[in-house]
Amino acid sequence: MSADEHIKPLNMTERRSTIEEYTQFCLEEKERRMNSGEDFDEQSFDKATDLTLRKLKILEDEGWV
Amino acid sequence: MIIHSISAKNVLKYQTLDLKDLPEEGIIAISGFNESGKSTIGETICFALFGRTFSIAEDDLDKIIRWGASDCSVTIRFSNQKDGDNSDEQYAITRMLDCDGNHSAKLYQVYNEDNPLARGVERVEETLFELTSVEFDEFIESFYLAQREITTPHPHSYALKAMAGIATMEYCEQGIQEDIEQDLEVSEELINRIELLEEEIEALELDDLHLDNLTEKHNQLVEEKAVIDDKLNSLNSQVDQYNEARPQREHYQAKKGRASFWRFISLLFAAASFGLWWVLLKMPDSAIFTQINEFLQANIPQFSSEYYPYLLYAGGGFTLLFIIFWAMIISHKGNIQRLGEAGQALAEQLRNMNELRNESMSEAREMFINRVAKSLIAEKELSEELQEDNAYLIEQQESLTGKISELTSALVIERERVKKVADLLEKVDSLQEQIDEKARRNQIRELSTELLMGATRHLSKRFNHVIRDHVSKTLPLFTENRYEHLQIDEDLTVRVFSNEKHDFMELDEISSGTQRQIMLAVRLALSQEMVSRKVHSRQFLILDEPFAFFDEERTKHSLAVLPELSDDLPQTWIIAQTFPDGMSFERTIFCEREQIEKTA
Repeated sequence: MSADEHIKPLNMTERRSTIEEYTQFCLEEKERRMNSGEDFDEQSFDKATDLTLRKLKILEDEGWV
Repeated sequence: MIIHSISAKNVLKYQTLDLKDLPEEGIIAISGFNESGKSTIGETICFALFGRTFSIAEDDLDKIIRWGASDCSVTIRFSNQKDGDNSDEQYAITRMLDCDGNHSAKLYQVYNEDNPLARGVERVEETLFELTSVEFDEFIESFYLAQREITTPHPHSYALKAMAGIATMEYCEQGIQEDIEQDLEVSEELINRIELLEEEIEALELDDLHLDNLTEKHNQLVEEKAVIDDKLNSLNSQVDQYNEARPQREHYQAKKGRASFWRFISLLFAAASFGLWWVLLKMPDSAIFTQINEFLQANIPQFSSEYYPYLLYAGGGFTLLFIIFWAMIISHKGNIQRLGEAGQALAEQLRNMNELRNESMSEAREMFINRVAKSLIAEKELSEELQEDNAYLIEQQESLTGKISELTSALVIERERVKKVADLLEKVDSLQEQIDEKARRNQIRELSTELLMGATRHLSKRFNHVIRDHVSKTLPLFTENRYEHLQIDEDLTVRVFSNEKHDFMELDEISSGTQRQIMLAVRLALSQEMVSRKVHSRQFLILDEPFAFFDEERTKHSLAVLPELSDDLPQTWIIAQTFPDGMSFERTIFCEREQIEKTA
C-alpha cells in the first residue's frame, strides 16, 4: 500500500465470532475470579464454560452465530 | 450485496420499472417532487429481497400491487462477493404477487435460471439469509434508511443485538434458562413421587426388629424340632437294637448255661480219672485200692493194670475240655454283656424321656426301666409300654411342625414387606440421585447464564465503543470538524461534544440539521458494524431523504463525504427531492408524478 493511498475511515475491521468473544471473555473472567482472593470452583467454571460453548456450537451449526 | 438491475411490473406507483447496468460503486441519486415515486424504488428493492416493505404491513401486501392491476412482479439482480472471494457470481430473485394473495418467489444464479437455488417464499427467505446473512429487520435497522424521522434504533431490537453479536448469546441463555426451568419442574415432580413413596413406606409400618425376632424364633423352633426328631429316631433305633439284641443275648445266656454244665461235668471226670489213677498206681496197699480193684474185676474184668496209665490220659483230656468250656463261658459272657448294652442305652433313653416330659419317675416306671436295662422286657411288652413315649414325641413333633409352618408363613410375608420397603427405598434413593444430579446440572447452568450475561454486557459495552469510534471518524467529516466526540449510553442515548463550546450537549440542544447529521453518522456506523460482524461482503445502502433540514452546503459536503467513508459500503442509493446544482453522480434518476413507466 502506498503512502498516498487513502484509507477510508469506516473500512471493515475484523470482528471475532460470538464463540471467540465468549471464549475470550471466559478466559479473562476466570483469571479475574482466580485472582480475586475469593473461593473459586474452577471445575464448575470450566463445566459451565464448556456447556455454553457446546450450545453456541450447536447454534453456530444451525446458522445462528 | 450490490444491486445490478431492477425490473418490476405493477409495483406500487410504476406500471414498469426497469433500471439496468447500475453502477457498483458511487452514488445513485434519485430525485423528484413529492409522490413522484422516489421511495417506490427503495421499497421495490426491499419487496424483491424480502417480500415486504418498511411502509406496508405484511397483512396488507396486496397494497404493493399497483392500483388497477391484478398482480405484480419484480426481478432484482445482485452480486454478493464475500471477502477474499474473486468470483463475479450474480444472483437474481424473481417475486410475484397477485390480488388473491398468491405470493411466489424464486432465487437463482443468473446463468442458471432453470435450476434455481430456491423456490417458494419461505425457502427463498432461508436461502437468501444463508447467502447474505441479513434478515429483513437487520436490513431495515442498518442498510435501509427509510423516509422517516432519523432516530437511533431501539437498543433492545433484535437487529441491533445481532449487530453487537449478543443476540446469539441471549438466545443461548434463553435456552439454558428453559433447561433450568424444565429440570426444576421435573425435580418437583420427582419430589412429589418421593413423597408418595415415603407415604407408602410409612403405611407398611415396618418394625426393623420384627424380622430378626421372627427368624430367631423360627430357628429356635427348628432346633427344638430337630431335638425331638432326634429323640424319636434315637428311641426307635434303640428299641430296634434292643429287640434285635435281646433274643441273641438270651441265646448266648442259654449257651453259657450249657457250657457251665459241661465244664462242671468235665471237671468231675477229670478229678475222677486223676484220683483213680493215683489210687491204683500210688496206693496199692490201701484199703480203697482193694475196694476199687475188686469192683473193677467184678464189672470190667478186661481192665488190667496195663490200662492204668490211660486213666492219666483221660484225666488230661477232661481237664482240656474243662478249659475249653471255661473259655466258651467267658466268650458268651462277653457277648451277653455287649448285647446287654442296647438295653442299658434304651433304659437311659427312657430316663431322659421322663426328664423331657418333666415327669417324676414312678416306681413301676423305675422297675420297668431297670428290667429294660437288664434286657428282661420282651418286645411286645416294650412296645406297649413305649406307646405313650412315642405318642408324646410325635405330638411334640407335630406341634412344632405347625408352629414352624406358621412362622415360615409369617417370615415369608415379613420378608416380602421388608423387600418391598427396600425396593421403595431404592426407588427413593434413585429419584433423590436424579434430583441431586439435576440440581448439580442447574448449578452449572446458573453459572453458564451468569457468564453469558457477563459476556453480553461486555460485548454490549464494546459495541457502544465501536459505534462511538466509527461515529467519531465520520462525524467531523459531516460537520466540518465542529463535532467530533460522542457519548453513547447503553440505551443508545447520544450526547455530542461541541468543539466550540468545549462541552457535551444533549441532542435537543443542537440544531435539527446537526441532529440528523449525527444520526446519519450513527446509522452509517451501524451499517459498517453489520458488514464487519455479519455480512462480510460489500453492501449497498439506501438512504431515503437523509438530508432533510440540511442546508445546501452541508448537503454538498455530505454528498462528497459519503462515498469516501468505507470501501465496504460502495453503492449508495440516495433519495432526495433535489440535489445541489453542479453535483454529479454515478447514476441520476429523476422521477415525475405522472410517470408510470421508468427506465434508466
